[in-house]
Amino acid sequence: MEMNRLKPMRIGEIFDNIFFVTRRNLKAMVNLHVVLFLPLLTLVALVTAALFFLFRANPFLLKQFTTPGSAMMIGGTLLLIFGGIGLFFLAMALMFVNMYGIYRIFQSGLEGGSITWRQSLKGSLRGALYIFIASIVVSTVSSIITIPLGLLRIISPWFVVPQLIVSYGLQIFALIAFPLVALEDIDPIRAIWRSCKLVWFNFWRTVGIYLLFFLITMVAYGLALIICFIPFIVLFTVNDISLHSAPDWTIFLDPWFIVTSIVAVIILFSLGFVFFMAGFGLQVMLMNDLRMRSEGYDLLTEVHEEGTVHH
Amino acid sequence: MVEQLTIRTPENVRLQYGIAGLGSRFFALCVDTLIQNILLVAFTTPYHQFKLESLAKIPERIDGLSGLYLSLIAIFLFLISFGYFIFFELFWNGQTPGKKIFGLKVRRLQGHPLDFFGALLRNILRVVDMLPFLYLAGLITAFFHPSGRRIGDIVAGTIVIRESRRKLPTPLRLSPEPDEDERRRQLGGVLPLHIEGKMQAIREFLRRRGKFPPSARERLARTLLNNIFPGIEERKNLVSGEAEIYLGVIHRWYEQERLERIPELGQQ
Repeated sequence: MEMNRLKPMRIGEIFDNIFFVTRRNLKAMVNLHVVLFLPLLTLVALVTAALFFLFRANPFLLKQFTTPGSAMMIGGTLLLIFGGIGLFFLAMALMFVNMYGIYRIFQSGLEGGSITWRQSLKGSLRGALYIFIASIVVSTVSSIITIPLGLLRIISPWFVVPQLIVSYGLQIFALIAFPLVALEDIDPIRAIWRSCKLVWFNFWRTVGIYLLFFLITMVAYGLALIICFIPFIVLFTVNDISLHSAPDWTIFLDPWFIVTSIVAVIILFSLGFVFFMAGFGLQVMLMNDLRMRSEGYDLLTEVHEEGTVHH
Repeated sequence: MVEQLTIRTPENVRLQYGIAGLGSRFFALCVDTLIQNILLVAFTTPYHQFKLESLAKIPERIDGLSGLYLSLIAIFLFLISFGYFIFFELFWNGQTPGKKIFGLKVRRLQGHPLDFFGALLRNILRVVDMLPFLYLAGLITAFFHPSGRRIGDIVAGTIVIRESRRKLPTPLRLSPEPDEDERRRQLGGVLPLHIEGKMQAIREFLRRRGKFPPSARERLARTLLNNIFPGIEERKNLVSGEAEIYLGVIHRWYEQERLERIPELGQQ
């Protein structure tokens, strides 16, 4: 199998390339996630399990989480104070490092190469910091613009429509700022500005592709969620279990319950992982496509490969 | 970056196919499903109206006809579900309307056009690919198969490929038409030796130049020109749009020289 050169992509090709690159670099992507998130997840699981054990709480009884003075209320507060905030920031930091790595894997895949998870993390600290700054700038600007529109909802609830449109519009304009930070090695402000400029020339196309992806993801994940939850609903109804009555613990040792849980977790986790990756892949594909359509990036690359480009 | 499958024929001819990915196949399937549903609704709507009327007015005489109509609908449902794909792929060069829109085509693995049994098998096995729901089996198989083939494709020995997007070169028109001899003289009267590798980029630029934003178009033209004739931008003090004209001249000049060389190559 061979690969040909970069060229502007049609809508189908954008999604095809996400699939091709994901398949070819699946190992690197999985490894990256395992290395970054497994220690964190283990830590969270240990802390949570310890708290449940310490307070002898039943995790399936909702009431004890919300009753003031109950064991879980105290445990939850302690978890939030001592662990939750720290873990949250750690998770965010790892998320940005992960984004940086995934962008690099996708870019290298699109150019026909392949890199390992270690290579993808080269320069990740600076890259992750820049992505973090870019996300802060984008959310601040978005808030400044959309909060006044939000206040107008006092007059009429219909003002939620322009608020949503503006919010999504801003999201579209900043859509490729993060991959630009990671892949062009530019500062966050320049990346946001450049993202706006690139999207501006192909605005409706970008909106269409983004909405299409959003729709596919929502429908597919929603259906999977419903299908995975049906056996649980049946099981809970048959055994008369609700969130307000503590179930008999032995029900959770039922082989049907165990198998269903494992299958549901595997399906939802895999699907979530694929869509999560595809989301980052889409950003990288759009970035390349817009650079080619608006700047002739592919032509410059081609000429550059043949000789030296004189700027 | 489309992945390609290369086949060598017994005559040692290398055939290259761009493999269709899950994205475009999914969109093509969406279009086909939409058409199928429109056909189904169009065919079954008269039945519902007819049935309502028959219930209210003259049930007995019409019931026989209604039963016949119901049988026809069952046959039609079967034909639409399976026959649609078989019919189009067989008689429309391996393409359904959805595949046509997204530039896809079904071929035998050896590159031959699809035959009846291939079309029948790959489409009957859709039932297996659809299991347990929403084409999950087909999706997983296509994801992990090196050529992106679903179960039906594997069994039938078929593959979904991309149609070639290569267009025939069209005559280049520049406005205003430049004085070519004068421009060639300004460029030194001889094309550089290394130009062949860069012609693809120039041709592509001239084809897409109308789609670039004006500033990017100008910058790109200057960069390409400067790459072929280093320093020309400063020497000639190019005005806006002039670099593009030079590129057009270079393109025609190159094509002309290439055509002139063909008889020489033939003699050799």
